[in-house]
Amino acid sequence: MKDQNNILVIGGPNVGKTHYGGQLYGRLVNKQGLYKITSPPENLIVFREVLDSLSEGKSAGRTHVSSNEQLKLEIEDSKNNKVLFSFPDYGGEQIDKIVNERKVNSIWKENIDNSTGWMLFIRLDELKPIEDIINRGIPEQSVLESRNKNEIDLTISPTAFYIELLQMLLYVKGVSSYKNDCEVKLTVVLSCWDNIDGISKESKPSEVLEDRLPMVKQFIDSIWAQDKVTFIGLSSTGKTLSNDNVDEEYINKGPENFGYIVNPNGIIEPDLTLSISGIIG
Amino acid sequence: MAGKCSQETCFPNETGCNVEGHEYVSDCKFYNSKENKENKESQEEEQDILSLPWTGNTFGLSDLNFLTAGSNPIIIGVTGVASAGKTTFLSTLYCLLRNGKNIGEYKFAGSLTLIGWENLAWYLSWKDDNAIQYPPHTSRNAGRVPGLLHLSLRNRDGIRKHLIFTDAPGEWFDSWIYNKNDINAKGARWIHQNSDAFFLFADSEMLSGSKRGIARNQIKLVGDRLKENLKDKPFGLIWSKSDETISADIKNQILTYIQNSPIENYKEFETSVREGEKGIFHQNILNSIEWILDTIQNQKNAGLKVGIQKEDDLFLSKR
Repeated sequence: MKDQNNILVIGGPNVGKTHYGGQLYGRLVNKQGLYKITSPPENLIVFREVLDSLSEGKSAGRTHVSSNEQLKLEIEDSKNNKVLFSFPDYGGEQIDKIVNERKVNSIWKENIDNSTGWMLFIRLDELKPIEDIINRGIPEQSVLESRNKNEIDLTISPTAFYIELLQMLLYVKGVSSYKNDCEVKLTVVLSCWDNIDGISKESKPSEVLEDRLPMVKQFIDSIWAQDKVTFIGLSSTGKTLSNDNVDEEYINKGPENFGYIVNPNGIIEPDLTLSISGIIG
Repeated sequence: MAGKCSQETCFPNETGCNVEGHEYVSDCKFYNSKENKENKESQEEEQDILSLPWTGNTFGLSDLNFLTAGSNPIIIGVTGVASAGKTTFLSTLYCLLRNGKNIGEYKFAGSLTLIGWENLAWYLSWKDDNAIQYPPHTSRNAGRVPGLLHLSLRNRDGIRKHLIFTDAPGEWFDSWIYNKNDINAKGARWIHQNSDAFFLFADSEMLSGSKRGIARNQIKLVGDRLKENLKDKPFGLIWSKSDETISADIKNQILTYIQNSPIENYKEFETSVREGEKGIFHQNILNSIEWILDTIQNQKNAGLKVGIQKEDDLFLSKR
């Protein structure tokens, strides 16, 4: 019997979804990891650009904003358990739009309805840390008065952004927010792990999230039971690639020999296919 | 009624189909999509878009329906005259939670008014140009119902609490003091009638300044109003801006006055936007909420007394 697993990769622009997809696909067809592909899909157009770029030792361009493609793959684990999983490709701006305009279109509604697991990409190195009265204090009244008071429009904090995004997706999925028994499995992916400030070899992804976005971590813990949520770190390409200059080492060794995940215990694993084990494992 | 729905409590453009609960507003029998026939494009879009039943902004009364349909929130009336520090207290509370602080054994578990909270916290956050300021005066044109801020909390046992804080302009209470039925006191009356617990704000800065006499009097009078029909509802006195020192005389006069008739559940908290020694003023903000949760939690009806008619009845005597 085949299990149908629809993984919905959720992430805003520039969080590394496309590179991840390309590298994951590379690992699956290479058949060295825990999960292997059974036969190449008929239509690989979704990954065409990223596979080409990585093979050349370059970084891939960004997915077109309005793009909405699905890639369906059949994979199997070491015990030949077959699993179907689909991987949607879309411009990350669509995620920003969902939160900012508070509207979910029918394509997204369908994606959410059909999904059995979510991979939430958070790129911590690009998030501006919150500086407020709690961690930076407030000057004396006399100092405040001497300053000019320009009204600057609200930019919601990354904390609020991710919580609101999850609240919206949960609502569309019809998950009760009254107890932590969400059936949709969640893997939180801290992408571009190698670029996060202050990361050590001992760092565990869940602790890093708790340290940087504590309220997001608390929210996740309040909805997902411990065995339904996984926190991992990810460096899809292993190092920073450029758009224009080729990386010779990359060409020589092949992209499938670069990149790693940091498993929930903080251990580096080169097998990128393990990133989906929290959802289909 | 707003936009193209004929039902009074429905705001299809903002929160989708509220009355009938259709996923897509155009499926609803109360929805009038004919009006807009010339604009075909927007019509197509409507059919394709799913709206969410909360806006993220501060709640009004009809927004409460979505929450109260599935839970029984604790409404906390945040009271006190103008510039007593009510909004700053709420902003600081949110900033504390955003930085990962807990309320006793309770942790953050969601909010339907995140944008509303973020709006308040925005003032107390450092901007790119190094600007930071206290939240401005809460405007009184806010209507008859205060802005309501929602917070969901959860403890380790999975028990959830929904809290609603009122964010109301101080002028409502100014009017309420002198005339309970004043037209401008409608919102204050709403808070008094509907809240499950109260915070009364005493502004240490005002109580140590030149207007301390007036400030003292106003606090006493709001206190009097709140105590009417209070029963066992928690009544917390918040000494806001506690980094300013008040004379012991003034403080004692207020304390004696507030307690001149017994209040069943009463406690004081010294708070400030500045953390104070070892963070005590911030901790007190969290403690005040914890105290309300604990007090309400422990309020149970007295056990039922069953008179035993037959003393040898095994079932009735075993208790």
